[in-house]
Order: sequence, then structure tokens, then C-alpha cells
Amino acid sequence: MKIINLIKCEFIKNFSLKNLFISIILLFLTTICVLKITVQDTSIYFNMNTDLIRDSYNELINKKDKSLEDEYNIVFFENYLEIANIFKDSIVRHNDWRNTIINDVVTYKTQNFLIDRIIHDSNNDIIKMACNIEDKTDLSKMEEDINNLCNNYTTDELIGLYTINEEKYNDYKKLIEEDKYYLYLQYEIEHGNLESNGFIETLINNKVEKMDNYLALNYLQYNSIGQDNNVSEEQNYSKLKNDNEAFKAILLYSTTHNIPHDIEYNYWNSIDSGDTYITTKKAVNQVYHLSFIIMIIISITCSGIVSKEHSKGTIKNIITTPVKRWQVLLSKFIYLILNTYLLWFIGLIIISIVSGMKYGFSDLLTPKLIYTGSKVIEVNYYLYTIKMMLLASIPIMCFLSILFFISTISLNTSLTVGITSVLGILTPVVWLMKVAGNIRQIVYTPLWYFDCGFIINNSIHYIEIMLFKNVYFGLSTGIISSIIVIIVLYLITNVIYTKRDIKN
Amino acid sequence: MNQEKIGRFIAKLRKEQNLTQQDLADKLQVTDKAVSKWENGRCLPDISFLEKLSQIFQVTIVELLKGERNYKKKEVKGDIKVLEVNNLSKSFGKRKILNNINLDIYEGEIIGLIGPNGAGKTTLIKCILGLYKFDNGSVKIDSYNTKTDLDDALSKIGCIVETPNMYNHLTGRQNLHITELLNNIKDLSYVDEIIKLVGLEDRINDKVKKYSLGMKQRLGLANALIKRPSLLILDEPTNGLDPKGIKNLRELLKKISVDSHMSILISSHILSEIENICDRIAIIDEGKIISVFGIEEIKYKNKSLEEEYFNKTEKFENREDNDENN
Repeated sequence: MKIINLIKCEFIKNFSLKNLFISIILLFLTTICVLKITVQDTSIYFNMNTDLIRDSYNELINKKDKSLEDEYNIVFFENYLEIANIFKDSIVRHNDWRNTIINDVVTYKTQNFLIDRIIHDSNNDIIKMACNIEDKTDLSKMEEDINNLCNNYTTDELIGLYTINEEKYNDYKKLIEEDKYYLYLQYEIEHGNLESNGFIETLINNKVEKMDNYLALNYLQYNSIGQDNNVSEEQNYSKLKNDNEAFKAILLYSTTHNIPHDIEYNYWNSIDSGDTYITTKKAVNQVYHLSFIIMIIISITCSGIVSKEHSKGTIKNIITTPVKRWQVLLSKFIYLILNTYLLWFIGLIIISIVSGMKYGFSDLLTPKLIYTGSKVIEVNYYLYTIKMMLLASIPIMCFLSILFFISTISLNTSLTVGITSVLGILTPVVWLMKVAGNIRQIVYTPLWYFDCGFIINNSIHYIEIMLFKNVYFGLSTGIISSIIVIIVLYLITNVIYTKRDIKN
Repeated sequence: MNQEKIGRFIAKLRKEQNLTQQDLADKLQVTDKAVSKWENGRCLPDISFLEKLSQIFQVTIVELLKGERNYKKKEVKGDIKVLEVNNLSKSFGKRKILNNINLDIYEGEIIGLIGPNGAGKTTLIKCILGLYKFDNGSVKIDSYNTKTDLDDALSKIGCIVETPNMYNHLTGRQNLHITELLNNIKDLSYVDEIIKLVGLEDRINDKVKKYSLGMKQRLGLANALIKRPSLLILDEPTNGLDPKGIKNLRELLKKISVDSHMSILISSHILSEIENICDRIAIIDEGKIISVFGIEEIKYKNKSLEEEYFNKTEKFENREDNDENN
């Protein structure tokens, strides 16, 4: 077929190993930058700092006349320090289970202090007053506790409670010393404080000790989803609701089937972004952001695709053959498209290798989890990614049609390079600057979709815009507007070029 | 019969063939004195010698006895018209560049197109090739109309328009390969022959940017010949060539025309070259074909092409002035 021959000609004429080599280097450098910016471990760690508590404790200990409240607080501080000292020197995740239970554990001791006083010092004025008070507002913590103990337990029951509290305190202290998450969970289940579910079962079965394990993090995430977070109906709440449903299902599936997921966290879904774990799949998901460097490469190497033939005069060799002008144009456009796909494919390989070297290759062999039709299914990660890349490439083809249009109509290579490289550079800028003002108009233009990474990965930049600007858009908006622009521009280009006189 | 005229005619014919009197005498097996007598008009050659002279000089006996050649149009090798341009007109905006051009080219002939700068030579060629869209008239190549069957028409033409533009970063062979792909040429066995014909077999695998201008011209010619066209169109082919290059090109074109019955249209400013190569000449001025004649006509009139050219163009331009004055 003639067009295939023409495309072969385009490759012979335009393809050079030197360009390919430079493109690979540019892609490699861009990959490093993109990964650095988008893939960040936002886990919060801290070193247990007990200085403030120790200071308060010391202050109270040295006080001459201690009130009941002071003694109550001293008990609190003392035991807090005792527990905290166990993991004082280690670096702890901000929602490490040990950290979250410390207050509750110490409460057993403070409660026991009060029980002791209530039984043995019932004539204490403060105790008497706290027991009998009717109006329960404006009570201090201690007074509330006293009131609760006085009025809800008999003396015998109080003694029983005291024993239980001591036991629990020692159990929890031992658990904290052992520092094994699954043992803690097992304890909670045995004592009826937690109901077993898929998460907990898996964690126990796998004997998960540390919270850094992704199975534990999945569970934490799961618990924090769905909490209301200042999101109103007008602000596209339905999308968030659907997203939450999907995330919960995927988190559960990921845990029970032991397949790391690649959902991108964002705080609007009430996912606590302090509990991320980075997988290779998440890193390779950033491949869509490579589109801007590909556009710049194409802009520099291919802007002359029509204009150079005219300026060098070689167009005469082509036009004076039994080949129609529309076939010449079409073959050049197809060459642009094939060149783009080649670069993107290479980009995918490069980002896979770089991510794999940093985070491990085995994750790329696991399936991707997606939520559809109210259930979670496993799909081949690369097939899915390639499918999304094909969809995301349609706005890029719109960019190509703009390049083609300018090159063919103006026959000026420099002008084409100038305009299209600016478009390429603007691509990440418009997203990262979250173009204020008339965003509603921009999201209906293809310019917004040259980089589809944030939309496909459902990342915070995308969600924020939808919530704050009250504009609903998705990948399909971009694809439809791109197709319209491609058809219009290509038709205009074709008509003008075929009717023209060839002056050079 | 004018013996002196006949004698002068024989001398002229002998000199055309670069023969001395002795050479001619040897050929006819007579003495040089006899030849000298004939040329001085002192006596006539016998009928047997007249026959031999007629064969040697390629003229008829009647012409010998007349003392001058009969003017006749060059016999075309056939009636087949390779190019037929009818009433072609082309304007750019208000300026009319081509005005009712009529031109026919027959199979196997080399036709030269000459005219002053701005006369419309390149425009005419570009209209024939489909690079420009013309306003009126028709162009037929091998009886294919370029408006309805442009593909078939263009498959019969090879051309070099202005300078031969190749892809400088590719080798000669790659450039030819592109032409093969564009023209959908399946049988590639004769491409090497063409490369040999134009004399590029040593350098065909070098990048075109290393070629000299002459080599680029030859590559352009090879490019044009790959299609095995019926008509070869060359616009200023000797542009920038040195004398050796010009001579090589001339011999190459003559060889091609003879070997493959290809018609050639050459547009040039260099009248001496046109005079050496072409069978027929067309003069174009101000968008009109003002004269078409065979090369024998001017030889017959003992004029040079240059004289004829200036004569015709001045007449044309004066006639126009007269029209304006009247």
C-alpha cells in the first residue's frame, strides 16, 4: 500500500540513532525528577519526647502542699513515663499502636489511684463533692472520674475493678515491651475489645510485628476512611463517597490476598497521608507525567516534518510522483504518532527500570487491583497501564495535530518549534500552579489533558480542584475535546495544503 | 548548376566532419588535387563520386547538385505525443504569467525551452508537473490528463526542477531507495545500471552532503531515471557545472535519448548547450510561446541559435510596443 511505503520513507528520512539516544537520556533525567517530586514517603516519625512530661512531673513532686488533683496528676505522669521509657529511644510512627494506647493504659493506674482514695479516704471533701455533684458540666477530668466511680460501682465492685485494672496495666505493659503488633491484636480479640475481621485475621496469621508492614498500614488506612472531613454536598461529595467505597474494598482485598495496592493517598478521602508505603507500581504509575518531555522532544525533532521538505526543496521529489498530497500528509502525521508511541514506550521501560532498581522489581509482577462493578478484580498491571497510556495519548495526538497544523500552514520550522515547545513546557505548569481563575474554561480544552497523570492516578491535585472549584471533569472530557480538535485541525491542514501551489 | 556553389558546399560538408582534403581523397580513392578541383569549382565530381559523397556527408545527390541542404523538419520517431499542452494559462493574482501556451513534445526528441528571465519557463514546468494549479487549459502526459489522472501522468515523468534537492544526511543509495518507495517500483534490477550510467558507482554509498555539485546533478538525474519515464524534464540542468560536467551531462542525455527513446525537455539560459543537444527549440517570452523550430532550420540558415534567439525576442517585444503605440 502506498501509505505504508510513504511511512517507510518518513522513517528513513527522519529517524536517527543520535536523536533516539538524546531522547533516552532526556527521558531518563525527567524520570528521575518526576519520581523525586511525585513519589514521596510522607510517613511521620518522631522520637518519643518525654521532657515536658518529666518537667511537669518534677514540678509537682517538689510542691509542698499537694492537692488531690496534683497527686492524681503525679500518678498519671509517673506511669506515663514508665511506659514511655520502654520505647523512648526508638523512632516511632506517629500512629504506632503503642503510641495510641499509652493514654488508655495509664488511665488504669489513675483510676486505681482514685478507687484507692474513694475507699480509704471517703471523707475527703473533694471526693465527697465530686461524688454528689448534679451538674456534670464544667467538671475536671478527675472529678468526672470520681463521680463515675462513686455512683456506678459498689465498694466490692470497686475492689474487683481495681484488680482488673492492675492486671490490664501489666498485660499492656508487657505487650508494649514485647512490641509485637499481632500479639496486641490477639489480646484485644480475646478480651472482646476488637471484632475480628479480614484485616486482623491476616495480620495475626502472618504474625505481623511492625507497623511498617503494608498489611498493618492497610488496616490503619481502612479505619480512617469515611470520617467526615468538611466535605459538603455541593463539593462533589458523591465522587468522594464512591472513592471511599472503592478504597475500602481494595484495602481489604490487598490485605487478605497479600497483594500490595497502588492507590494514591490523599487527605480528602480521609486517608491519613502519614501512613504511606511506596510500591514500585505507584512509582511506575507516574509514567503519564513523562508526556511533557515527550512533547518537547517531538517539538524539537519533528517540527520540520513538513516545513523542512519545503525549505530544502525536497518536496518536489515527493509531489511529482504518483502519490497524492493527502497521502503524503497522512503518512507524515502517522509518522508523528508512531514516533510519540515509540518514545512513550521507551519511557515506560525506563521508569520501570528506575523504579524497580529503587523499590524492587517483584512488585511489578503482581496484579493491579481495581474496583469495578462493586467488587475488586485483579488485572495485569502492564496491560492496564498500556491501556491507560493509549487513552492518555489522545490529547497528545491533539498536540501533534497542532504541531502539524503550524508546520504545514506556516512552513516555518522555527515558529513551529517555538510555539509547540512552549505548549509542552506549560503542561506541568498549569497543573502544579492549579491555574486559578477561569479554570472552568480550561478543563474543557485539551491543554489540560496533555498530562493525564493526576487524573488517572486520582491524586490530590485532581481531587482538590474538583472540590474547591466545583468543576467536574474526567479523562473522558479531555478525550472528547481532543478528538474534536484533532479532526478540525487535520481537516483544515489537509484542505489548505492540497489546494496550494508549491512555491519551493 | 553553379559549380562554385557546389564546390563550396562540398568544402563546408567536409569541414563539418573535420576531414582534410587528403582524408576525403583517401576515402574516395582519388588524389587530393581532385578534391581541391571540386572545391574550387573547376570541375564536378562524377556521378559515382557524387553517390559516395552523398553517403559520406549524409545528404542527397539532389542537395549536392543544388549546393545546399533541403530544409526539412526532423523526422520524429513516431507520431506519439509524449506531452501535450493546450491553451495553458496561469496567473498569480493579477499578473498573468502564462498566456495560452501550446506545446507538443514527441517521442524520442530533445526539446529546448529558452527565454528571458521571468518569461515563465519555470512556471510552465511547474504547471506541467502539478506543482502549480493552472487556471485554464490542459496538460496531457502520454495521453493521461493531469487534472483527472494525475497519478498516471506523473508516473511517466522524471524531473529535476531548479536544483536537484536530495536529503543531504542520507546516502545516495538511500535517496534512490526513497524514490523507489514513492514510485512503488517493484523491479529493482536496473537501478545499479542507472547508477553506473550516471557514473556514481564509486560514491553511491556516501552521504549526499559530501557530493560535489556535479555529482548531485548526476544523482538527481539517476533519481529521475529510476521511474523509467517517457519524458524527462530538466530545469537549468547545467546550473553551476564546470565545462567537463556540462560535457558529461550533454553526452549522457544524448545517450539516454537514443538508447531508450526518452523525450527530454530542457530549459536553460546557455544557448550553446541547447544548440548542441536539442532537436527542437521553443522560445517563450512574456508567457507566450513565440517560436518553435527545429535545429536544422538555423543550421540551414547558417545562423547561430543566439542570433535567432535575439532576433525573435526583439521582434516580439517590438511588435508589442508597436501595438501599444498604435
